[in-house]
Amino acid sequence: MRLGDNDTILDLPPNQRPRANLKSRQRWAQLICEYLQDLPRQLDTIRAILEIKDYTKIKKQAHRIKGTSGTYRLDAISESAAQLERSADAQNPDKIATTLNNIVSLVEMESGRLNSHAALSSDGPERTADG
Amino acid sequence: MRLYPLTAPKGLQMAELVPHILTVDDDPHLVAVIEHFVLEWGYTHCGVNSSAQMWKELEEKNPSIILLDIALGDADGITLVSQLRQQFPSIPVIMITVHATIETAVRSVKAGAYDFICKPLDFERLRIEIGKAIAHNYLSLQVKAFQSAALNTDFHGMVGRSEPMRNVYRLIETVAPTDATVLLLGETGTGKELAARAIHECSKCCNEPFIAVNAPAIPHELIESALFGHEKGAFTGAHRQHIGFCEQANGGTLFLDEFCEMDYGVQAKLLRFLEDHIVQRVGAKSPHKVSVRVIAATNRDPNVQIENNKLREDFYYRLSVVGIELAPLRERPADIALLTRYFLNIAAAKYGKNMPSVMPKAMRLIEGYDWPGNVRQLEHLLDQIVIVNSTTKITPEMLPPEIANAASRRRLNTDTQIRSNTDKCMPSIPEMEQLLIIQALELTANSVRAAAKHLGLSEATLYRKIRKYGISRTSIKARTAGKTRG
Repeated sequence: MRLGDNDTILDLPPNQRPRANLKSRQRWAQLICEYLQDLPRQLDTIRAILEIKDYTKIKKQAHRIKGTSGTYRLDAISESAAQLERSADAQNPDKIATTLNNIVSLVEMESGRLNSHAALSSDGPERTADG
Repeated sequence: MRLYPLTAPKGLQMAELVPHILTVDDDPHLVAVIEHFVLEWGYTHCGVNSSAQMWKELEEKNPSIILLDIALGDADGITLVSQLRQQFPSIPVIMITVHATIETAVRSVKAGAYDFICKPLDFERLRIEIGKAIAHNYLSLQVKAFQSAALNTDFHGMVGRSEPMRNVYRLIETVAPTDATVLLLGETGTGKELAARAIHECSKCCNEPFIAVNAPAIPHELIESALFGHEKGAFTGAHRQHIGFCEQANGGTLFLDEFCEMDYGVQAKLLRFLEDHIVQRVGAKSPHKVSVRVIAATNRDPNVQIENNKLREDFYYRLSVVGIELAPLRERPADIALLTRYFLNIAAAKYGKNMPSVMPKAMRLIEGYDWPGNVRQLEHLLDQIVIVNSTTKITPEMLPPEIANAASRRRLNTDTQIRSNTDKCMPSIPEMEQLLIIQALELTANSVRAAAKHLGLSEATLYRKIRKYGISRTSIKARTAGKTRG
């Protein structure tokens, strides 16, 4: 199960998606959607922390985003969160701000992709993993 | 692929035995994605976001495994895992970490983690790890419980330290080394077969066979052949030679359970066998001698059976060379707590769960109940509680209504007695009504129609009142059956 940098699990052929029955796929898409909707709030929190220059807290938040976005196979976001973590370690506020902006763009891009995917795959049930 | 060896008892849904996973991670989105997959794999799941929520959840439910984030917001995962190991040593903990360093792995395992898995989560690996941890937990629980069960029995598999039980142990020790025929008497579920096995284990023939024959389970027309055997072609359908139970037990012990259920003709043949120990298979040309020690058991009153022409008097006297009576559980309440712990331990191991503790109030109810089905009834109840509930504590609400009602009825009886003795105040009308209904049902062998007639009520009214007061007809039935036997 290999994914490209900009792929999500929804880009996999239906029979390779985790337990890819229709209900499961819909729930999975819903979970990604909820996560993408919540990410800007998390990024705002990091911005607020950056104001007070609490780099330990920023690192912790970035660490969390790295793990969870990676689990959702949002690899580009996960990679940027790792970059954010490194910048917090280096206590580099400019780099942190740039990376935060970068993540915002990635979130918007992923959300757009997810919406167009949902529109395309609403034609009918696809073949399940179990056949 | 499910690694968890599930065996659902008859009548129970597999879902009731499904392992429960607890995920502890401060990111609710990660908990949500784990839940998505864990439910797909057929487990039940609960996710929490803090250590405080985790401890609260552990008070209520007993998970099969815990998935714990190493960098939890309000606590350090490594510290938490060592606390978990101390308080819940049998629940495996799988650590979730972003940093997959050797140092983290070593620290986690040293603190007591079963394994660790890295973020981003590989769900195939997570599925395998969960399966492995559950199977491992199940096996280690079983080994521990059976070891402890073996160590905790008081006398050759029998459990109980009360005076009646100590008398039974003493009698068994005295009679076991002899060849004397033993008659075991006791209500159903008092452990007659266990006592028979204990006699066999303490006897000089302990390494020889122990053959148990449950008479009511064998059709009347086959019992003679089952006991004494037959030759090939002895009768229609005898396609091969059969060695009977009396011969199979040669050198060892033959246990005749519920011997009162055997018909007169078979009793005569067994009497003869007890006299001369000679077996002749049906259709055989010559008899041969065997050396067998016979232990018999019944839950009926042999004297009543003799009066009713169901039991041969000579057969009974030949069997009762030494008689041992096993006390019903209600006459040895001191053993109930011990038996409860013993059976909970076994049930928890059998169903791959952690052994729950019994809350004092629930234990008081258990100890105060009459247990018409005796030890067997207690064992089945605890089995059922362990299967149905995934909790660490057994509460009064988990007990069937007849146990709680028995306690309130006893209180009612006592209260009524005290009140009439002191003549200070009378019991309330509903209390008296409840008592009268119970007495009427007991008097009429649990027949609602007869009880209604006796009380001057319609059947429908009596049914309504039985429901209103939560009167258990099952326990009345069992009690009246016990009285009939006694």
